[in-house]
Amino acid sequence: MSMQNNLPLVLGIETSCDETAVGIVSGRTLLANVISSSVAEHARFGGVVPEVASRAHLEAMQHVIAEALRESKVALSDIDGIAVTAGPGLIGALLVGTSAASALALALDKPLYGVNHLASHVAVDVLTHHEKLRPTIALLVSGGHSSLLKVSDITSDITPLGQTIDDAAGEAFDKIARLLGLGFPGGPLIDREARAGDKLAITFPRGLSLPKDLVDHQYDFSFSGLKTAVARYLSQTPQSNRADVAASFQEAVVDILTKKAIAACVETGIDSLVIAGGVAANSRLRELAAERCQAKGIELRTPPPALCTDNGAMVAALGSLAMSAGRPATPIGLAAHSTVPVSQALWV
Amino acid sequence: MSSLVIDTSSTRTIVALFEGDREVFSDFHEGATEHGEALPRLVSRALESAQGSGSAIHEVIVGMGPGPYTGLRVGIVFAQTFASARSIPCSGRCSLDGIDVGISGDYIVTSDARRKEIYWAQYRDGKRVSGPHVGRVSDIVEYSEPKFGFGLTTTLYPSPHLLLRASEEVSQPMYLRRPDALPQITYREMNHFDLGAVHAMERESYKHDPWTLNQFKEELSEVPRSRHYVVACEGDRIVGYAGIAITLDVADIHTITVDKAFRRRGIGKSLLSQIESWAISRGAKQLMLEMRVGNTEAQPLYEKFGYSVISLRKNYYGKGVDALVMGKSIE
Repeated sequence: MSMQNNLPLVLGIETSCDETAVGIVSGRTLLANVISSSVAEHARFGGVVPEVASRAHLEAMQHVIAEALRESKVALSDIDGIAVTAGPGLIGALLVGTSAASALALALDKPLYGVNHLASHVAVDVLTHHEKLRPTIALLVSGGHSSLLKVSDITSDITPLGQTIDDAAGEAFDKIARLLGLGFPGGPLIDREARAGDKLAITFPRGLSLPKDLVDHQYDFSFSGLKTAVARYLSQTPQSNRADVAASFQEAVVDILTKKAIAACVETGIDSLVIAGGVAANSRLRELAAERCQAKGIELRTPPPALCTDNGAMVAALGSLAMSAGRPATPIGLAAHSTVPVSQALWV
Repeated sequence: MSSLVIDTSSTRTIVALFEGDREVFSDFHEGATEHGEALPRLVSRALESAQGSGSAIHEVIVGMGPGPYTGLRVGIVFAQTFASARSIPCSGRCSLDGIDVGISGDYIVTSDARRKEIYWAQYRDGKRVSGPHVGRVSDIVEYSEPKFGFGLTTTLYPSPHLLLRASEEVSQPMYLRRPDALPQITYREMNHFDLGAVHAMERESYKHDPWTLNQFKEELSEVPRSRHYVVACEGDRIVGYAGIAITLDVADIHTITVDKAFRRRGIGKSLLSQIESWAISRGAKQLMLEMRVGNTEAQPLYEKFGYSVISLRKNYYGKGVDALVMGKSIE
């Protein structure tokens, strides 16, 4: 039995936004990661529509669970525990996941772990490096979040250091991609366009980087001023070069993200940095972070792109870490919450 | 052999367990936003009763609505996942079929659809003959049958026993309404990367005398000094644009254009009010525009915004095509 090796076999369910995702892990080994996305439906609406997402979750759930079991080649009866994203997220979407997870736990008589979506984005690192996550700074950047965290223990001790005060980093990529006529989602499209451009061509502002900002917002981010600056530049510069604009915008984002993340490492004396979330797939962010971490002797960990965006494997990974650490399971009748502090990694 | 019955189509979370036709467990939790927490607790208690009776659950019966969506989905996804994990069948029912009114003959049953509407269905001797539908209470006043349920009598809830016995199987959630969202329209300043799409719409909309691409470029070169140009987008697609010029305190609306497929949705109105407020913020005291005589779509919009006809310019748009000059003063 897998539990004897302290390698719990955990099935994780994620439905906090528009991806219906189920992952299966054995200890720190990824066995299956199946995602059904309703992003194409939402693209028409210019953003995620909660009711559309919730209907899609219900339609996809049974199929995604079955597919994950098939991919992992494990039987449901072998599963040691169930983990599920219980917040933060869209409440109607979360409830589809927590209800399915509760049903599995009751039907199989297995423990259930309600986990924090943000914490699981960081926890997914163990599936890449297969070792215990040592204390680390985590930069979590996606379409919905931009946070800097101090993670002393992923299941029990997470301190938020800062977050965005307006747009998330991924949101900024989407909006600028739209301005440049590149399409949706913006992250990968700007990444590609920027490769042909000069990142030093235009100096766009770095949000919250002035000495006066650093007093109250040392580790916070702001991207709405940058967005306005790019829009203004485009309407005032008839001969602008799209690749240069993309590269210079991207540089402004990744410069401030990495600068603040490295500063957090230096100030806390923690020589490890995990970058996670959808924006962590950005090639320039990875490149610049690697450069700057190396200069400061910080170990950089970035999950592969498929584990950066929302997925079920990260939920299973955090559930597995919780089981290994002997954390108590969530009592029957777990409540989903649309907002929840990142310091609460597990539901109790 | 037992049947687990679940319904979350109302403010109640209802769970029951039957051995054959005999009720072993039945309870509910009242709370319109508490289905997610209540359902696992109730099922857990039902499972304890099942263990006591020593009989295995062989099927799950679930109410598929109609009912408020978020709660409804809790019951359906729970029932489907539980059944699949136990490798037993899950079978859906119309939740209104579970409402027991205690009479035979013809009658109508309703439940709360929110937004001042009801879900309703017609029955004859306990069998549904029409519906479920969604509508207003006034929609059913013309029917002479006795009527029961939300908006008419006390609120009635599905009986697990009737759901178990209901013969018609329902495979899809009974939402009865489509998601509300219409694709969202966003507005922003026009830039040079938009000109391809803008010029294509220009040629499509003004076949006889479209602006050239260079005219648009010249206009944009005056932004933000004396020009303001905005585009309306659905996602990444440009569906409308507008531009205005200002000289001293007189502003001249140069264009307001909306894609044919997107007209009558208030896009022209939003574009007009955006360029107007830009001009006013820049000190415009007079707003002017020219439009083709006989443009029956645009003229009422301008009139609604307080513009009146000032003069007629003969042959302004070429021989035989006159222009109306309209304007309004800003106090």
